[in-house]
Amino acid sequence: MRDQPVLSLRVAAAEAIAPTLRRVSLRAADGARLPPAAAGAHITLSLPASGHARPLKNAYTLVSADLEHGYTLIVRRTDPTRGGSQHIHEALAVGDVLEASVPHNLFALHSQAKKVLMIGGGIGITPLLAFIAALRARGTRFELHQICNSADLRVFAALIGAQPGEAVHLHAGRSTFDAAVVLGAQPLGTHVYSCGPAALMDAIAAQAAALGWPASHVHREDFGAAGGEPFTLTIGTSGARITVAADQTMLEALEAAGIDAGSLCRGGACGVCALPVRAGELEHRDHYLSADERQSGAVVMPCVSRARGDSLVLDI
Amino acid sequence: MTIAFKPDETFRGDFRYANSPAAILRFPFPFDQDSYMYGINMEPHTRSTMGGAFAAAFDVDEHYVAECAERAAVLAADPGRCQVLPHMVEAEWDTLELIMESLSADYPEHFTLEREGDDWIWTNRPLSLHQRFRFGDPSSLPQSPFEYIARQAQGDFTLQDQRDGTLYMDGGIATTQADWSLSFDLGMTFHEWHGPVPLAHQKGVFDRALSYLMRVRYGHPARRLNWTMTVHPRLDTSPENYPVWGAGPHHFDGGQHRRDAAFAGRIADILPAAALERAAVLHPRLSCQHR
Ligand code: FES
Repeated sequence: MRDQPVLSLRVAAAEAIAPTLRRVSLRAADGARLPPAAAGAHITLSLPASGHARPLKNAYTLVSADLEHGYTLIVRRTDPTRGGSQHIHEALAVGDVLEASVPHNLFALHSQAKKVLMIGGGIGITPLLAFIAALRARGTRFELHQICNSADLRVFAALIGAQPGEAVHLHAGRSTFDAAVVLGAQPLGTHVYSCGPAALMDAIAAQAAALGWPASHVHREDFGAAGGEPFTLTIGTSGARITVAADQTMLEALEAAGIDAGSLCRGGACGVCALPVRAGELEHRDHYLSADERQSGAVVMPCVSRARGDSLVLDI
Repeated sequence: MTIAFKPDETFRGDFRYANSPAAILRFPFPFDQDSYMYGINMEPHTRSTMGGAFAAAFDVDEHYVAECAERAAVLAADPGRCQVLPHMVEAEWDTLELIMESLSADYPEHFTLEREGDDWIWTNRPLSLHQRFRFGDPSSLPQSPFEYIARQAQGDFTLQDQRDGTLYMDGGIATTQADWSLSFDLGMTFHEWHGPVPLAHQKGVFDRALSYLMRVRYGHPARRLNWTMTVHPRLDTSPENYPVWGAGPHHFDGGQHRRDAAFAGRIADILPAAALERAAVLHPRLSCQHR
């Protein structure tokens, strides 16, 4: 796969596997082989949403990625105010074409893990299904604890398809799952992966820290924080105002407005894009500025950093 | 983009090597300053639309055939120049797929990739290779997938596994290196293998470079240029062979040797390998030598 950040995907199959779960298979719209994706990878789909002028961008984990037969997702219908999943449940039909990002993986399996402990909550099962397939293929020892509603138990058990001798545990609700006991019983060299509600992942991380697990062995699902809240940028010298959209960097907004700020790495590392700041609070996301420079709030790397409020005044 | 290859060039012995005027013109001379220091000069690999060394994912130039022959000679004498740890097998196939797709798309007159499911046919016309194989089945190729394809590309490659908040050099091929050893560095972390570089650690260059590299995304390749100077156009300036090249004339002070002074530039293409995704392929590319 060459540098091609956007994929065009056609819905090859879509079926309800439970009242609130829909499984969707996507293939390349032009029939080409899809880019490979390792277990834990996600794609971002652009989905039309009623009441929104721009399509919504939602990240979905790949349950499987068969390069010939496509990417598979399982989507839970969520709160109707978050339009993307609603569209997948109510409107998406076989043959529809969607725009998607290439796969990105911020939740990859550690290549040296002696054992993998997986803890899932609800729809957080999706990357774990991909992990199970990869670990079976690799022959790595694993243990799974999946917490779900009693209504989902049968569906989840079928998705996992536990084989004889595998340590697979389904829990109907949190009450039968004791993180301290499960984490405390693991052999050295185990890596734990949690995916589900933030409260569950926080609890696992806290319990692991309390038991003295090294931070490098504790992983949680992460889709990355690419964009952020939109804000308004004011050019100090001219008073011109520029809107930075939620899915746009400050640098991209400046460039779109015809202001060439200069850049090189576009990833917060080189320092080339630095701009002086006159007023406004900053959310520094670069790896270039020193702690003191961050503190002073006088300079910002617009290729990655944002305003921590609704406005920012640049001294340019 | 038909390239007139120069298969008779040599990078040792009689050093039969020169750049055509066209090769010099397409070289990405970045001399915008009068002095240079270690720095963070990584940038997105934006394709140049006007040709030159930045037009392709993996640059192929007039020295391609001769450089591939030189690589084969180095590997024949020292197979340890290509090593990959067993857990990087997916990254090996990723590298093969990425290079075959890129070369066949960028240079269709020289390379062709035909695929029917996992049954692939690879044609490399400059090297007269025609290979049927099954993707994912190492027994269907004459070498491991990584070595097979790296023998058909210019420049060195490393396979890096991202884990524990750093990158590990868990595989590579190095036959055109500027005095570093794959055997020595294999399995090291990013900071360990850069340990010998002077000055740059104190400036925080490697901390920032590592952060940047770990964020390079699949489908968004990055690149950087770096430069080395050698007296002869010798590609194999390895520690393993130091007695061969290190003892020779390597100063710019002798009249006779001055005209042999070679200047080498490297473009490192940094590409995250796909199936592992958190594995990166680093591709330091030796691009130009002239005298
Ligand atoms: S462009 Fe390198 S820090 Fe912004």
